[in-house]
Amino acid sequence: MKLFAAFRKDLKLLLRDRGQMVSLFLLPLVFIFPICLAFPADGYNRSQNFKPRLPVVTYDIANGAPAAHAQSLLDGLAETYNLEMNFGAKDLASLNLSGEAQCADRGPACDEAVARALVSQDQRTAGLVIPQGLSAAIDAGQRISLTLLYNPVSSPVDRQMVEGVIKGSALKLSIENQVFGGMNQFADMIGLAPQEIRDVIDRQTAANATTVTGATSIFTSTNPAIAVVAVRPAIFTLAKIPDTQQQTIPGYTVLFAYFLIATVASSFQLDRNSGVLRRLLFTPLPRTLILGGKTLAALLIGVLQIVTMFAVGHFAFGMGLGEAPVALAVFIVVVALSAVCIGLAAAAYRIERGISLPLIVAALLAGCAFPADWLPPFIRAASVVLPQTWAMQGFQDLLTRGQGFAQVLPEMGVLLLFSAVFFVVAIRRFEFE
Amino acid sequence: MPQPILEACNLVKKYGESIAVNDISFAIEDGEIFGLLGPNGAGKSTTIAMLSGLFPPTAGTAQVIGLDIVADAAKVKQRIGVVPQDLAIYPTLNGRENVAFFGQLFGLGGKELRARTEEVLAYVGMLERAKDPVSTYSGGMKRRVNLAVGLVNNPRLLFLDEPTVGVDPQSRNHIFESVERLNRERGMSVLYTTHYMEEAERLCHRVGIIDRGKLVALDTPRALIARLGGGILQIGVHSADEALATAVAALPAVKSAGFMVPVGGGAAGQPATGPVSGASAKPILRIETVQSNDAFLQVLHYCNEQDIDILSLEVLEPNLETVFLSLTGKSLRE
Repeated sequence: MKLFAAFRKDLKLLLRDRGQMVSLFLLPLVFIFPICLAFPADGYNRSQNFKPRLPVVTYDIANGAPAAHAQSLLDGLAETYNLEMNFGAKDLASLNLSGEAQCADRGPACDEAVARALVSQDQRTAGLVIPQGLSAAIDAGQRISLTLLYNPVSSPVDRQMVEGVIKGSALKLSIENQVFGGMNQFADMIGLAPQEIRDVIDRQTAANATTVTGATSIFTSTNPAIAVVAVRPAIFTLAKIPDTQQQTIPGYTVLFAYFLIATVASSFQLDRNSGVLRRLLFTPLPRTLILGGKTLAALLIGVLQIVTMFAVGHFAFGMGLGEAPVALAVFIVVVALSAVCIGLAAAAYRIERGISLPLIVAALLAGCAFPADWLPPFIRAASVVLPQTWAMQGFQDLLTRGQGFAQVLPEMGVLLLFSAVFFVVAIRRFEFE
Repeated sequence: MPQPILEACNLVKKYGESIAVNDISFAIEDGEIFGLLGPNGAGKSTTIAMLSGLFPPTAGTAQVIGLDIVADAAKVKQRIGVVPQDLAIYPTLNGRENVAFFGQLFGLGGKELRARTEEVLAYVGMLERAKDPVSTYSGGMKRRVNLAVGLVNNPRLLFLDEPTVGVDPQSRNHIFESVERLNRERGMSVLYTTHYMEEAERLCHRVGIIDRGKLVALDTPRALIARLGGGILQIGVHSADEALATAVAALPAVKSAGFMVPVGGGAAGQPATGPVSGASAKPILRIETVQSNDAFLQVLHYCNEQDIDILSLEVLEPNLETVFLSLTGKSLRE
């Protein structure tokens, strides 16, 4: 009853402290919104899924779609590049091509104009033009050229990389075609062989078919001879790197979640300076409940803050919330608890001013504002003493890497240790008078 | 004989080598308004803090409502009300929220809490503004809510620590009336500390005068003033001549006379033993009189006869201020 009264009172006091509420709830959004809106999903260029964009124009069309070998080439390039094809009105307008003659009708000619404009304006490193008759030429064993568009003023290294990938894809396509051609010739030759030889080959083919599921013939099967099954080891930290949202939203949330330290410290300062803290000592409210009420109220504020930021991230920017909602909920509470306990210790030592700057620096070192692996190794090693580092790591395990409760236990354990140490320090050092 | 509601015996509070309260003993009868009168830093607030169970005394004992202040501190807190000198209320909560919160700490809840909150707010005249945040109140209104919080648990003994500091006359009067009504209508006992002698004279049945942690006098205001006689004369002269003091003390309408030591010049209340030093220090002969008018004429006549220049002259009427001056050699405001 008394604890609840203290909790409710402190919750009201905190919620009515406009300055602190702005710091906790508005400031993170001030950073999150512009960054998430301005940067593409791979704004940090850190994701393993990141693919540079490559405008591609295909004149080799059959039945309204890229012809067979053109499609094979595109499939090969798509492993490396985010292919841009069939440009829309928005692209034309942004490049001032809407009124151009070649864009009067949409088609490869218009796409080529767009690709040339993108490259010449240095918006893309290179572009590719697949000529008409590519498939027919390959089938006929004739030579044919692809056109690589590039801007002479762009980085030669980038251009050479693009050129290398395209040459590789073209070579692969060429070899595949030659191998299949050879196989077809071999099949034709089998048809001309004596009956005894054909029987042996048929028996051998039947035996092979029992080991390749679904395959009826080694020549007609499209299944690989050796299948690769992806298996994630049980104890293994995935190295998946967060995209813009996964970096920015938890990052600034963690940065400002630890502003709760200043909130708690200044709340005690106000109570102490106004004499209210002393007055509470004249009442039957035990000292533990004075601290308990403030702790619970601040904890709730901290949890609400993190939940709010993640909700904004989820609904406004489509940030995934991972695959372990319970683990995420528990981890949010643990992060908020660690901030509150450090705040209690700050209040005990009467460190009420000048907290913001160290908190910002700590957050930067912990990888809240940008990926931690941008930092020099010695700073990354030193940042293990910061709770923000563990909070950030835990959130990225849960949100980015889709891990569960067991995988974030180390981070939880460290944060709970931080909480316990600072709580004990606060209790031992706190002076009510 | 009824047991006193508060009885303090030889209370001492030390902070390291510093003695804040030095061997104080007094008792408060049930239904009495008892004043502790003394300047800032005299030890009044420390005395209240010990008696209300905030911290234990270094030495001595005290019983409040029959409970030991150390062994039964929690029970003592449940039964008393404390209105501290600071405006110890939450500025962002409104008056009602403040009172209700403290009521909950005393175990009140539900209808009882609501009724009690409205009652005490009405008592201090703050019901109309109860919805407004405390930060929008005047200093006097804050003091009244401060008082209301101390009353929410309906205490038998109320500690009021300098409740009128920084208060406008209207609110001060309201607080006086509230204290008088609480005592008259509910028989509430009050320990009232102040350094305003007018308050002590108006409100208190008995007054203890405290200076530098020691209780230097304890009686009814009337008796303390009567002890002084006819008031005090203070005359400024060129030199602190002890022969002058002796001669003046021998005049018929004079009780005693002695030179005051300026602030910082020696032990308070002790007459100077020689010329008062210091460029700006002017010796002041303090004369306690049997009857101030007669003493005034006699002193003037003597100085005239002896050709002594009177540089300044002050007649202090008999009241608690002059009692304090008489006992300590300094003003309550110092």
